Amino acid sequence: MKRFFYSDGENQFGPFTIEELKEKPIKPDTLIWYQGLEEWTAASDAALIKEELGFVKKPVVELSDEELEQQMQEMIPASIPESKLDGHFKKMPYPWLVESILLTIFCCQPLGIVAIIYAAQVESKFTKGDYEGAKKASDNAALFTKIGLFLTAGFVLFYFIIALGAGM
Amino acid sequence: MGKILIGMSLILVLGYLIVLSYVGIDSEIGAINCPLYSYTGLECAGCGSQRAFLHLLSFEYREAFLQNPILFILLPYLILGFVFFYFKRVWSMLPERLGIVLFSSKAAFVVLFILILWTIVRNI
Repeated sequence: MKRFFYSDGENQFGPFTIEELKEKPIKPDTLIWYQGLEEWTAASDAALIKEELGFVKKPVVELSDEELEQQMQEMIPASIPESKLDGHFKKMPYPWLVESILLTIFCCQPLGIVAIIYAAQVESKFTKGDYEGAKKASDNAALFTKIGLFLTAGFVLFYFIIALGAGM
Repeated sequence: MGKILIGMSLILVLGYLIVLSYVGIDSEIGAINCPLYSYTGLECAGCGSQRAFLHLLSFEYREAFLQNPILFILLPYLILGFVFFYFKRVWSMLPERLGIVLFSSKAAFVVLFILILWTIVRNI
């Protein structure tokens, strides 16, 4: 069974079957991914689903400003309330990528590298349908990033006390 | 409890950076020395980024670049990442696909590779 993922502009969601995907707020420009696709692709360009979802290229028509405005409104992705996410499909766990790189270059490289290795697994595991694995990688990245932060803070505190002692 | 601890740690670290930017780089009570460097003499990928950061604050790009050139690649990336993960509404002005590609697993491994390569190169 093929698994489908989509992005609402804020988060990536999945995995879905094609039937489930049809019920989601998919617009022609919504980004879709499934195994076999090289990269995230607009729904209207994704070979497997464009016909299923009824995205057929319309002829170009001149639009008045009002119509254009209305189309723009429709293109803004509908946000999905958190409560709807308890089903069997899930939101991608937070990857902690920015934080772990920050930790690596501004503080503790050994901890930071471990955190980046975990952070780098979140997205790939999630898009393979391995939600548990992605969650675990995300948790580990968070753990190492936090340890790094606490270490840094502890060091600053220690240094501050020493400096105070020397200054007095 | 965890959130309070994280908050306090962030305040400490940011406070330290602010104090450091006031007393300046050459001050006696200046920067904390990296224990890893003190003990092993090895330079991490981020070694010199504190000094480079302070130079950047006073717009001394040349000195900053000499301290740690990798910041010139990673800082823009991190700022983009910060916007992508925390300010989705701002990011919506940019192509959505760009963000997904830039902060995908593959990209993260590229960054990791660059960091490790840089660590090796600078210690040769």
